[in-house]
Amino acid sequence: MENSLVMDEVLQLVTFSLDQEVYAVDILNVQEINRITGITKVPNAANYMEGVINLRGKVIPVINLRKKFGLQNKEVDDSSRTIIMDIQGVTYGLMVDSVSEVLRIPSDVVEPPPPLASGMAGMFIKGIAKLENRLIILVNIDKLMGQS
Amino acid sequence: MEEIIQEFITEAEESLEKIEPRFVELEQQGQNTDLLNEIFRSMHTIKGAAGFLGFQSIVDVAHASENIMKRLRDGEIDLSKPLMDAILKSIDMLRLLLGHLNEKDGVEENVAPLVQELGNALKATMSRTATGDAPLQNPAAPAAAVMPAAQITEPVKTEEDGPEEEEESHMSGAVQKPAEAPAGAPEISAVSGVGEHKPNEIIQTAKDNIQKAQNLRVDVSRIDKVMDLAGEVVLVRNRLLNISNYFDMKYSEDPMSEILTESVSFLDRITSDMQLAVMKMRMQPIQKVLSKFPRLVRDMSAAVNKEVELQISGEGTEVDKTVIENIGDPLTHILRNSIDHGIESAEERVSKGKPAKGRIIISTYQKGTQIVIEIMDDGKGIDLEKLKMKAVEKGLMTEEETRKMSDKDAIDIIFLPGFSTKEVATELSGRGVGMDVVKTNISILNGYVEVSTVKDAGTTFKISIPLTLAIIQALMVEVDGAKYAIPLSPIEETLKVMKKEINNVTGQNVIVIRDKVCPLFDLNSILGLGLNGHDDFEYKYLIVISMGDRKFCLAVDRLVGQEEVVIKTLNGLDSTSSYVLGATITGDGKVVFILDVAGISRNLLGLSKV
Repeated sequence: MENSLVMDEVLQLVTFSLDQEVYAVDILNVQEINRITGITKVPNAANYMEGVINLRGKVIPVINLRKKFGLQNKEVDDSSRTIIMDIQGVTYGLMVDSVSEVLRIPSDVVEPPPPLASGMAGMFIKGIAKLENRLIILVNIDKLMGQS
Repeated sequence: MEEIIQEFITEAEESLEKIEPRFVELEQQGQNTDLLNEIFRSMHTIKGAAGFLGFQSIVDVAHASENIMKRLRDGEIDLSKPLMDAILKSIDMLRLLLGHLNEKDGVEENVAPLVQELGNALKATMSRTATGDAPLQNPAAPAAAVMPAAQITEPVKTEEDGPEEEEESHMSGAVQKPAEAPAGAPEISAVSGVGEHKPNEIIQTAKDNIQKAQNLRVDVSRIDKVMDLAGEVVLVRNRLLNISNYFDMKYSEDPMSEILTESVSFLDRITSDMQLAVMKMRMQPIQKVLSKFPRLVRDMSAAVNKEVELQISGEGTEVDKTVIENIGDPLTHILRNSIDHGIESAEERVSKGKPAKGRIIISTYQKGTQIVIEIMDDGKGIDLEKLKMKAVEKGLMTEEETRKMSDKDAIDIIFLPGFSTKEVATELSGRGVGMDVVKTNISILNGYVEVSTVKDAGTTFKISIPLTLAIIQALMVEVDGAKYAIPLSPIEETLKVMKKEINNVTGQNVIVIRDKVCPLFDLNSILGLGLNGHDDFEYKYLIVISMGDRKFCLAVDRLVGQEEVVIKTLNGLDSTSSYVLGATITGDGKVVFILDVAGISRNLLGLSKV
């Protein structure tokens, strides 16, 4: 009985895509998902800092996740979105290629990141969820803005 | 003095408000040392402050009830209802007295009966405790305890002598009862019940006074919330102004368009007024910070065996709360420095023909939209050669660099982190921290420091800080297609110049303005935006900025206009490297960065580049 309880622990994730891969973040950190409009560039900022937006009177920095992960850059198109998230008390926007769905997965399908995962993106991975026919990369959002 | 009294009244009222519920708690919980301690401390503070200010009646009342509380706290007596009533009455009396002080109506309350009552209540309880475990068997005790309860009505009625006697007799009639009645706890409370309608009146009076109090203590976060909302209104106002201008141009014949323009301009005016009013809510006299300095200077000068006199003027100047919070440390550092390094010893001063007693003057005044704080000492001044030598010694710069340095730049050496000329660190200063803190703290406030010094005549620190930190006047400019806001206060003028007027001297662009050479920087390259090949403008717009005594020009593509902007703080951005002190949202909903001109000036002209 108790075992099944642990098994039943469900993660609710928002999945999004960057390049060819599907990533996910915990839904509890997600405030809202917006289209990309009116980004103001920040002078002398790190390259992944896309700029800032006006979110109903609040000024919020937007991070280009492709650049942060060291992926090829891509022009903003119709499916591009910003995921507004709360990362350690600060609100950020994460710019992604597209937002796919809200997913419920049992926590036991998540495996720790492979030890070989290297490069910029390696340290931002919290785990990998193995579903029947695909892999979803869980992003460690706390690490995302930790150093820089 | 007025200020201090007002402060005392507010604080005393606040602590009374705080301790009153504690009494109730105490009554419910019985002996609780923590609660008693808290009450005792508050009462003691009120007594101390009142004594200092010479409000004898408050001292008397506070002292009498403090006496009781001390005994309670020390466990000498137990809490009883008559005792509690007496204490509560003393609180009401304190309120009343504070109310009179606040009103300045000069009405004197006769506190003697209450003080006596408090004393009696204490004595009664003491004797009860002394007579054994059945204190209430002595009918005299409750009588003594309750009797003065009637007298409490007296002070309120001092002006009307007539009814007083009548009441007294009426009350003593009531008081008669406990003496006759068989002794017992229920009776006592019943008696207090009878007497209660009178004390109620006092409470009523006290309450009326509270309502009339002119000060309202409000949680800062609430004011900040109003401030935020006012900021939003300003943004919407700016937006509406844009729209109404558009309609005014497009449908100038339509009467409705005129009405729109009219209402919007009305809204414009009230919004400005509201903004100012909200801003004022956050303003406090700088006295709050300055008042601690006389004592500080006294202690500090005594520590180094110097005689220093401190003069303060303009302490009534009002500044934003953030300024009050951040200006204390820098001022302390400057004072410390002046006393330790600036002012000479008495013998040295006399030999120089100066009065033996050193003097430091702090003067505060408002200049335009800036608050200026000057700290002037009549000490020996800063020895620039010594400064330069030290800087080289410490490896902060090379000899070559110091030789090229102007006097103004040399003075700024003192603001370098890790710099100190004192051979040995004293208790006061010399550890090489301090003056750089001054600079940092003041730049947080978007202000700047200037130092001027004359050998043997003294040194003056001049701190300039903007009046408010939330809403500023800004010049909107355009660079590389993006808009930026530059705070208006450091802008001296704007110019439109032909490109060929710009000269290049050893790699530095300069421009001659009225026979004066002024360094020129391209805002585009400062902000690291990269040149997008639009160097084809025939004209350049220049903004002449003067920070303290430094002057430089920023070249921009276009001047958009002057606007009142609301500063939004930026979270999650490294604003120092991006020369941004905040952002604002324009009428069309776009985010526009407000440039940190002080930061730009520091980096472009600062010591690092000399």
